[in-house]
Amino acid sequence: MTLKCGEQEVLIEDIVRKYSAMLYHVAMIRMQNQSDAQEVVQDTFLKLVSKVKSGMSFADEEHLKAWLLTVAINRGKSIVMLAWNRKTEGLDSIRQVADDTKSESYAFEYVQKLPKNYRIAIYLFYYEEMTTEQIAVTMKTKPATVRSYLHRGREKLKQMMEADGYVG
Amino acid sequence: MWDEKKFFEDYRKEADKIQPDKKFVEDTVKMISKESSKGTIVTFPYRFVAIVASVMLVVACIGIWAVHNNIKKNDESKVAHEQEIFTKGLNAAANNGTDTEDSNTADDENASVGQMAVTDSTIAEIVQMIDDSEVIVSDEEGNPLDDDQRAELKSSLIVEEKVSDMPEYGSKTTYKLIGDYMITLHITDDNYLVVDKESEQTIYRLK
Repeated sequence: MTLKCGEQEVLIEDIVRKYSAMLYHVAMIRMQNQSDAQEVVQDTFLKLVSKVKSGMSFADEEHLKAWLLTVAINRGKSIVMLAWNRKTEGLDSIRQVADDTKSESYAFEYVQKLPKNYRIAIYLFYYEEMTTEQIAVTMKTKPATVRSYLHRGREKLKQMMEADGYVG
Repeated sequence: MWDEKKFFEDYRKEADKIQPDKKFVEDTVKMISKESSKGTIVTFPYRFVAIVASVMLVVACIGIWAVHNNIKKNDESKVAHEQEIFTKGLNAAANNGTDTEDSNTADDENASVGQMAVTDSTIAEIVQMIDDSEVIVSDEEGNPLDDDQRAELKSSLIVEEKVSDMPEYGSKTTYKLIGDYMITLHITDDNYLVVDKESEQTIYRLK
């Protein structure tokens, strides 16, 4: 099956390979546990297949990327809203991931301690290099709110690192 | 000092290392490939159906409420109308013999609904006897009337006024009402009703 992305016809399997990591990142940041993150990734691609079958096409690759991120974030919300999914596996599993990275800065782990909207905004801004306007569309909010998330997120990160003696 | 730039560079490097395992990606590719090779998903429009069902339910509720309300209103107005007629009838009876506008109106209304009985006990009695299945209603020769004929006779008993003199007539039809006592009715060809009850004669002009 192919999907129309601007003028190009792209194989859906190629889309899955290309965007799995991106969706997994954002799902891990949102869900903070591996099994839920994997569920989010698969559900997002299933929704893509369903939309393509019903005739959906994308203006360009940016449009496709934004759509995938929006669906993944929303799917994450739905999973969190299910009462039986409110388990506390999250932070420990993400710590395990951070430990595996063997980084000296623990930057990823610090960001993961932030409230979910802050960490999603930081991920999209610093990792995906999206603009605040693009993030606002993806998170279904206003650019000013995104800027506020980023600003407060940075402030909190600074406070946390100061408290841990990383910065003086 | 917190080096913000370095922090987010480190963040990117660490985030880069968080990758879904290859098996998961390949499993997802297979699943999506299998899913995409299936026929077109005809998504049942649950949301649309739910909206339509809700709207229909609301309309049905409003409809039932309106019908119920209407029936209730009609019943109330019917009772009020009957009470009004009854009151007028009583007033007319009280003013018997006076030719006021009110009494005429009451008589007209009573006659129009076949309720001369309210002001005239004889007609009421006759109507009651015709309705009573134990009372034999027969023609002059003693042949009993069937239900339709009884109903026809009853409907013809709409009285316009009571008269004192016996009219001249060419022919008449006679009916006998035999219950605990007997009443004989003569309906003349020029629309008069003569009631013979226990040797007393009452004469009415029919409508």
